[in-house]
Amino acid sequence: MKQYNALSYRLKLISYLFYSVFFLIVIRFFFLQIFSWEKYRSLAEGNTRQKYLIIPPRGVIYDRNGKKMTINKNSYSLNIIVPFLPKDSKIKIQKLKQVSEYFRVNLNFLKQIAKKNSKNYRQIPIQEMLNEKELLFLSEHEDEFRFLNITEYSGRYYLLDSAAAHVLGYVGLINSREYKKLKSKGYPANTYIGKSGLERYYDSILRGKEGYIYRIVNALGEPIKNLKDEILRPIAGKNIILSLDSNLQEVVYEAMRNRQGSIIVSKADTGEILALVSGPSFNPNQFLNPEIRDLSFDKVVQDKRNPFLNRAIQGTYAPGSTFKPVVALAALEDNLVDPYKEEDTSKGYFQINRQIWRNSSKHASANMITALRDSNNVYFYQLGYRIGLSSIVARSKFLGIDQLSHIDLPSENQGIFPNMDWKEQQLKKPWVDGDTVNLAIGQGFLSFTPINLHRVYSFFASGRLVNPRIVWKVQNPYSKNIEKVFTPQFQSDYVANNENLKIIREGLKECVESGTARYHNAISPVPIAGKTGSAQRGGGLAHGWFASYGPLNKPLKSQYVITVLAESTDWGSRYALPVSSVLYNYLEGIFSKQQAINYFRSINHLPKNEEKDNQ
Amino acid sequence: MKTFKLGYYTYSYSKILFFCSILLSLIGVLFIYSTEAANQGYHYLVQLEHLALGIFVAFIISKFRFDLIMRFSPLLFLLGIIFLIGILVFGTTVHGSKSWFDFGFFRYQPSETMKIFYILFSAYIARSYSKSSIVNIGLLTLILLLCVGLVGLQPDFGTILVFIIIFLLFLFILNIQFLYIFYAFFFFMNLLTLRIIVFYHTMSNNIIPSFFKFLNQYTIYLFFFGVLSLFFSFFVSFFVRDKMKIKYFKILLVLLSLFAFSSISFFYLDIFFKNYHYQRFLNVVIPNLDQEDKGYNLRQSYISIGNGHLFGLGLTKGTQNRGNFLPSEKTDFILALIAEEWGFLGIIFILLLFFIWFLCLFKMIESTSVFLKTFILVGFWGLFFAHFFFNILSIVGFLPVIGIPLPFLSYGGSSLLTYFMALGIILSIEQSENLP
Repeated sequence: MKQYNALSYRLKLISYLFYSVFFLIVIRFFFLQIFSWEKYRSLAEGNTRQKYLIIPPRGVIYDRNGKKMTINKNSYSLNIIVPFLPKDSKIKIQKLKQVSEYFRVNLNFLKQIAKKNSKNYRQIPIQEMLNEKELLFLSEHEDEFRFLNITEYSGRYYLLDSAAAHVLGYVGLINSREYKKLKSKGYPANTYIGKSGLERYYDSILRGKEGYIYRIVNALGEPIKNLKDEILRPIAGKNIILSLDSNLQEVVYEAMRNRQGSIIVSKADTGEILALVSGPSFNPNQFLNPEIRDLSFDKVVQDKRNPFLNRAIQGTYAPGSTFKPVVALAALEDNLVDPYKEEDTSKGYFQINRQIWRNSSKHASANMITALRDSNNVYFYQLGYRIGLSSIVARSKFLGIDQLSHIDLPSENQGIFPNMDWKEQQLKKPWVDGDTVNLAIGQGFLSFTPINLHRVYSFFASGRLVNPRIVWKVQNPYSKNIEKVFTPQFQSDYVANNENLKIIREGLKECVESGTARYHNAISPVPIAGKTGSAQRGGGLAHGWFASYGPLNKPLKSQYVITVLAESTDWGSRYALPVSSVLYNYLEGIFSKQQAINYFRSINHLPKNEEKDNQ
Repeated sequence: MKTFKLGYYTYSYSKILFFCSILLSLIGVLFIYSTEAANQGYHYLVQLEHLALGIFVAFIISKFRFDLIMRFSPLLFLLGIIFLIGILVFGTTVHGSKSWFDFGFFRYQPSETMKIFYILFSAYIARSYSKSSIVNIGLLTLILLLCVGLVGLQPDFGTILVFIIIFLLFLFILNIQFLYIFYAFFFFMNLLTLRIIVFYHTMSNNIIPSFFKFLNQYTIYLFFFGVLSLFFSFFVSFFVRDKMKIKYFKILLVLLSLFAFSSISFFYLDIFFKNYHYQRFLNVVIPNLDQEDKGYNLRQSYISIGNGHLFGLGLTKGTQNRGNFLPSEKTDFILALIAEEWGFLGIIFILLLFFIWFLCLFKMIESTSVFLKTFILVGFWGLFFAHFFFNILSIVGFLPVIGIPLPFLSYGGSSLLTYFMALGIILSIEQSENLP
């Protein structure tokens, strides 16, 4: 009997085990099915719903005359879906070898991708720009290469080649760093995005919205019976219309083809950019073809002249004598000087205590106009010293020199506008009067970008501080209606006293008529006003500047502003000035396009080519 | 006939047992249909035939007198052994195991019916001797080793586990001290753990995380350490036997010697275990270790279960099912399939049926007055519970994927037949309650 009690005790223990196991199982199912079901639901969808990206055609870029600047070529990229590879490792390697042979892909690269993404059902791009032979091969051997698939996308071809590379930029596959940043904005992992220039700045407008095909597939990647594909249609990118003139851009590019520097041409009143060039340039069309892409990309990156740098908005230079009108305007606006008073500059140098600043040429005396005409350093040394730093700083701020130009291009650089705080912070030295004297002729610590100087000279031409802009209209790609028109934006409401402005304009006009820029008259009959400058450096030749506006005999509406910066050309009158003169000739119809191009070729010692075919 | 009253009606446990079994089998047929609804399979019809055959067999067996069945049990056991030997010679190999006789229209798996013969014969032996004598337990162990050895040669790891679980339950019922059962359990676990650690090392020589590198030396010294601790424990127990009668010291010594035995004998484990068995154990312990995607089954099982949520996606509508992502969805993973298509509520329903089933059998065990019958019923209870336990706990990731079917639900003729044979014997026991 005792034993039997022991048995029932043991049976009770078994029943406890039994209850606890049931309890455990119910808890576990509750956890999997109620608590964390969403995770498994999405994994299940990842299993069956294969997402295929449809990349919409990218918006076309038109110039001001309605001429296409880009063409979309239908292109195909090759993707791999790693979990669909054969499970057997020998067959897998063999298949990968075949892929690497047929589609010119590095085998190690493929192996690496296959290893890293063994559970990732995402399509991973491995090759772009498939040719017809490859496409045919893949469609014939579809069953053998179930793990491969093709995405259609619009390959971007730029009609101006290198001429507009810095303005338009180029397009490429999104990289992992960009993807991390843009994921929240709905960018898919294997799409194409603008990498620089307008393509990048207006990427959200140009790219449109990606579509998807959801294919319902089983474990072998075959479509499941009776379950239809779902399609989310893509929306094409919008077209943008620029103020750029393709012909002018090509002419301007010819002047910078094998030089370092930058040329900006714009309308004086609205800030419409007509041409913007930075030299040396690169050919974005070479980045399209995967066979030569890596090689040509490396070539550009390794070039010591740094072709990727857009010197118009990213290069910073001392403005040299082109800064003198700003100092003059500061003195006039603050009523610190009588512009017609003749100052004695016969000594040819300027002295504070023991420090001496010399002038390269001697002038007996000068008033403000003749000083601007002859670029008289001594006059401006004295003027700067007299009016002091605070006046120059205040007026420069009104002219936006310490701010960005707000042109619609990415990664614009800000130059250095020195003041007392800046010097103490950066150099740990106090500001001395000598620094002010240097500043008065645009040397010393001061540096800014060509586009910023360009805006200052459009101010001299129009009296308003207008922001430069390249894109002016956005067009609907389907209906061709203009959806959005941009209006000129002004940096500030600052308006200078008209009398004072007249004196500056007079000085700039004199400068071209009989001053340092008089060589203009030998080339061009167009009446303009402008100022030469040279940015001195520690070593080597100085950078030459010429900033100008004109023609003066026409109303403001049809006046242009041209800023030329040519690195290592010593004086502004050496290279920057004649280039500007020829451009005015071209703009006014005195030179044909071919004449202008030939002129630039001859002064750069390049052979004169046959006229290029224009589409 | 054991009955209970609920409201105005009186129910008998055995009828409820039978009813639950048939209901579960029909649900199984329904879900086997669900797996092949899209591509016109016929397996659900085959399973329906198995079910009809099973009910018929259970009916026939229940008509036999229980003492007659017991008298024939040595003969049945012998027959089972002959089949198990025969399978090693004439058997068909499926998934690496030589477990089937292929008759063309029917594939018979003798190790399934062997479970029943084993339980009957163990009861036959246990009856003949006083309950927990050494001879009794020694004979039971011998029977187990015979079965496990033959099944291990196929090899069929899942069936071995079922035999061992039934054996442990027998020991438990025979009122053996807990400590000894614990020893047996400890020995087995220690053996397996050590072997898996070594396997982990050899399998993943190059991908092993650096802090596991010490295992290399560990395994080399393990053997010597085992031998050393064995001698030490014998030596100490010989000297302190009379002087120190502290119980815990004894326990410690036995554990030490068991550890020694297991660390020595783990080198011989490879006779029964293949590398994929260790791999499966490892997948439970470290799910993300596998580079060649061996944990695919378990992951897909999780996805199917979680995908069902509360109400499920509906019969034949499960995406994991239709896309063939869930492996062996007709057999081992059928509950994951049910979880996807009927959801949490469906699972609760299935579990409730099983709960009632096990409870009914348990009530019958408790109300039986003859030890022999208790012994057999506990054996059957253990047989079903081992299947239930290992199947469900492996699809929810608490145990390695062993490859044991779920009673009644999983596809398989031999196993369904075995379950209904067991039911027939249970009915026979129930009807002979008045006999000695």
